[in-house]
Amino acid sequence: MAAKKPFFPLLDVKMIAHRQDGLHLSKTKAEASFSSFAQALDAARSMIESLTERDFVETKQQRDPCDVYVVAIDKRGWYVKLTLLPEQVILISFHPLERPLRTARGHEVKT
Amino acid sequence: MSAKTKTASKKGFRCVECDSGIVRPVAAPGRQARHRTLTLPVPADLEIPTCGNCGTEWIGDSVARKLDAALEKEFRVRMRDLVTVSLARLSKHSISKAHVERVLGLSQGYLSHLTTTGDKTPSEALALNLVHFAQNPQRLRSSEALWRKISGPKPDPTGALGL
Repeated sequence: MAAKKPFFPLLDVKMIAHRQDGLHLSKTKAEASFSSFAQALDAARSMIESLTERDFVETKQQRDPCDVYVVAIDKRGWYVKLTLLPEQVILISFHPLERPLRTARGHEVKT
Repeated sequence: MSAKTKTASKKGFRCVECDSGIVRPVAAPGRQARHRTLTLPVPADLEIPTCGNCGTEWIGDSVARKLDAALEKEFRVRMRDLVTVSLARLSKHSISKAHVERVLGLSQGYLSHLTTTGDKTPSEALALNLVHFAQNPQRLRSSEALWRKISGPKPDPTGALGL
């Protein structure tokens, strides 16, 4: 059976996130894991740039669809949830994993 | 652009945190933000895209640049004040800046430069050390004793820690 695919094409996500002001994340979440907002955005951009469909976990249907990914950064698992607007990527979650998580392809990423 | 993407008003976008409010630039007094190790006031005139319903603030590049610059400026003032007050207290115990510089392995004149010009931000580690020395100058003498203990041909770091 074919693995589930992200709702938002990764090429679109990467292209828009790469633009000036094309990526937004919540202030509270940026503060929690980074010492400056520029550092948070830099880290988020690098993370998005490195995303592949292998990192995709699921699409959550809130009021709008949100794609969930799990990525390993410096040997630590990070939880990523994003949605796409016409001119910006909204990074809803970007924080270290609280528990191990399995990708749609069955690969488990540890905390 | 993918057909799957949502439409958003040019004046703002719907908040994905609460799924109901509209996010628009807001400038207001009384806001705070974390910067490095401190929580600092955000300038009242700095606009941050904010949800009108849940209050979630959303940060993009332009806002991040302005916010980081404002917070770093305030952070520098607070660290410099801490350093200046600590050095003044040490001076009352006849401990000079040059003496502190030697103990902390700083370049000669570094502390004077730090407190008289505004171009450098003292690190939290330096400010903390100076505060600890000012609170109890004996700590500075203990630090000197520590350097002596781990000098020489057979240093004993465990013994130097008093373990």
